Amino acid sequence: MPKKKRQNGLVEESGVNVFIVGVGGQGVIAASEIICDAAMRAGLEAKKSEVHGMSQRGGVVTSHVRVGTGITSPLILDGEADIMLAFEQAEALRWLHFVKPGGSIIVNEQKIVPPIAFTLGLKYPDDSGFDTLKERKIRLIKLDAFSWASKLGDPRFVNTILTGLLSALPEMNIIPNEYWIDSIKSRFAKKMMAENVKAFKEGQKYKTS
Amino acid sequence: MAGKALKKDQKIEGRVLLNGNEAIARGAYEAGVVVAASYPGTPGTEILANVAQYEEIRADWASNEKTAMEIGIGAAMGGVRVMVSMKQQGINVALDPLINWSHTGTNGGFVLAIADDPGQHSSQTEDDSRMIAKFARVPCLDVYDSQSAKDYVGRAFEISERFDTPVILRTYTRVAHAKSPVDLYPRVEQEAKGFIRNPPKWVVVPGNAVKRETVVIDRLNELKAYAEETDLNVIEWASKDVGIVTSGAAYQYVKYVMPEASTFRLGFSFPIPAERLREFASKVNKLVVIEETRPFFEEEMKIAGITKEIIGRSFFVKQGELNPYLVHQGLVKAGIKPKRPVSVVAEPQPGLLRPPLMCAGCPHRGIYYVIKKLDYHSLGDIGCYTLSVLPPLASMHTAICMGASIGNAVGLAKAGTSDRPVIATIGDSTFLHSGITPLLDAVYNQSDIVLIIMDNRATAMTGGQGHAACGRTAKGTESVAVDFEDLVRGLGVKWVRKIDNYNMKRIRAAIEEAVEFKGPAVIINTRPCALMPKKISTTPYIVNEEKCVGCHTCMDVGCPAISVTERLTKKGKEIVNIDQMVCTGCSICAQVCPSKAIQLSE
Repeated sequence: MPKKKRQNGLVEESGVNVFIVGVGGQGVIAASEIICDAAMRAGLEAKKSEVHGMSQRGGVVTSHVRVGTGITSPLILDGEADIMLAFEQAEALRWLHFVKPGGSIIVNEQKIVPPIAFTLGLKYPDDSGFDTLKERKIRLIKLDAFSWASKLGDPRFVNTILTGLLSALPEMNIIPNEYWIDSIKSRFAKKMMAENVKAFKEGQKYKTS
Repeated sequence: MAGKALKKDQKIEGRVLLNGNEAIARGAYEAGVVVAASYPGTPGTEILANVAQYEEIRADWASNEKTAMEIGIGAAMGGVRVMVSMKQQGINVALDPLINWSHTGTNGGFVLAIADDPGQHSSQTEDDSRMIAKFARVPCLDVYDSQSAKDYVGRAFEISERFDTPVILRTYTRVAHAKSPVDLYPRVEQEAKGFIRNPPKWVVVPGNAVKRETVVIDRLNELKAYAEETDLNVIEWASKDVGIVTSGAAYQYVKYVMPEASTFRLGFSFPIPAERLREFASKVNKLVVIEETRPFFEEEMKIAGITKEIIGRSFFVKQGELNPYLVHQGLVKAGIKPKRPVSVVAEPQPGLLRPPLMCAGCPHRGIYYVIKKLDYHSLGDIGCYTLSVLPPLASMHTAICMGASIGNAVGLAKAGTSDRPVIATIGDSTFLHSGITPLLDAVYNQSDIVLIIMDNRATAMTGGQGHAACGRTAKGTESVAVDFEDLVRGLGVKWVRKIDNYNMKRIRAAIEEAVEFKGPAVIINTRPCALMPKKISTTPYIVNEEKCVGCHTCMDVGCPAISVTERLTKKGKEIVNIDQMVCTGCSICAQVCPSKAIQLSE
């Protein structure tokens, strides 16, 4: 990616914004690590930010990932996420305002109902919130990654499958495929490595249109 | 982040992705730090957790921030470089030694890293360490990404040694827990100066302290002059229509949202460079100040007599952390139009409530379930167990600050207005942090309180760090473990019981007996944290759907493993389910089930 210099010597910002959301324990932070690692391997700059004080305890987890050149803020401006990767359906709805017109949303259809919803009599939101996306030219990719991962042998592959799917979106073509694979490989010991690479490649094959 | 620190011979060429805490730890390593001390606190915990990975640095968890500070001071008196780190609330605890250490000055370089938490993601208050720097009359450096976080550590040591002062290194949630690329360099060892006896400097009797006051006043003037010349303060000229004074993460948001504006980034945030700011203000058409969390620069600029109108904090937020969107909105509100458009396609949705929960198998759950049933006044403290304030447990009625539960209980008992017994609950780490002295008050004044020490053998809320009663150091080596029963009896408590806190009958019996005792009574829990340092997992429980009557009593224990299904009993009530992957087999839900429908799965 050629670097454009601004007048004052600073590199002009250019790249891809990925906003990852989910519930504590689902793998949001691991997915963001993989994207940043692959980007750094590809010679790009990467920044990411998350709040993880409560992540182990079933709270909302978000991670802002920005890769490219001249990256400034570790947070994405509302309406500027090229891709939103949602590990949980209600969390996708909560953060729709981050996605830019013409962007993509990957939603894992898993529903995690917090116990407090029972205590307080709260309803899980229906998915009518997605209805308006088409007219706003946002591509919605909904899939049951949990069942898919279980079929591949381990529900923990959800994260790898979804990251694979994300890596194959045209928005992510600033990172060549070999770096994604290297990044996946670097995260796992031998046996799990082969299985995760397989799950990643399965995710990449998902027909998104 | 513990365990991920970089070794000195690793990746010195090239760039690696580090979060702000890892970067500060790396900075300490490169700057030749010899001693580090801290008490865990989000978002700054991982500074020491990472420093501890470097074998060249003697790094330990202290009992609290005040002792961390005092340990650091002693080491600096010994003439080596020292880093003390803590979260923003910690400095309130460590203020006494900080103020005096500012007066005496140091020997070895002394850097105090403080992690602020704009937006109160995991903090009781939203404070600003620059104000502590001003109060203590010590310099403050504001980091804005991981590279600056690492580099400024070295700069802070130079300033500390040049001006004979502790230096505050101010970091934030969005630096501490944000990752960005960092260039790594090798460690540079510093020559140890050794301890030099100097009572006029280091013994703060009034006769000496009065003379040191003069030194502090003169030093502040020298620091003001330094602020004018240091390259930590950077002007980046672009359009002179808008000039933005900023620091920290906010600087990054400004560069993202409005790169066409000129910026003045204050890396040296106290004392401010008043003359350079005055000049900057005179050269721009509109003067904006964007900062977290208090309007500190704005007020300091006004105090310095900069009369130009400031578009300041009130345009951006009333409280809470900034983000690119709020920066954009604030600029627009002030009549400034950034070239970058904002094109939000959907309204933010409030979404499903998802408060943090006690984990499945959490040893605290049974205690608070019993307290709720007894309906005693429950004075709490700071830790995972503070989550018991939330429904369905909803059985904590106060929590003020670290260690407050015990003193508060003593006070409430003294007030004589309580119509029922008063119970204080405090975690092991919090008790060691600042619960021992108020328990002495309870002994000395023979207060009728019941104290439960929720000993789970870890500082769990911040990620399971060690402390004096868990037998392992910050570096993971074995150590002596303080015995809570010995400790409490040593303080003079005459009634002490250890209980299995997975057994609610025993919990209830112990509390009822303790309440009858005249004077303070202490119950000590024996079950460890379900997650840290070892994940506990025994045979899970399962719901016998034939027996489940759909009464949902088990939902009242607030366990993330239990949920209500759409399957119905014969009487049309929803049957519950236990997630076999999540259940640890603690049995609390089985103990409350009136129809014995919750059974071991094998």
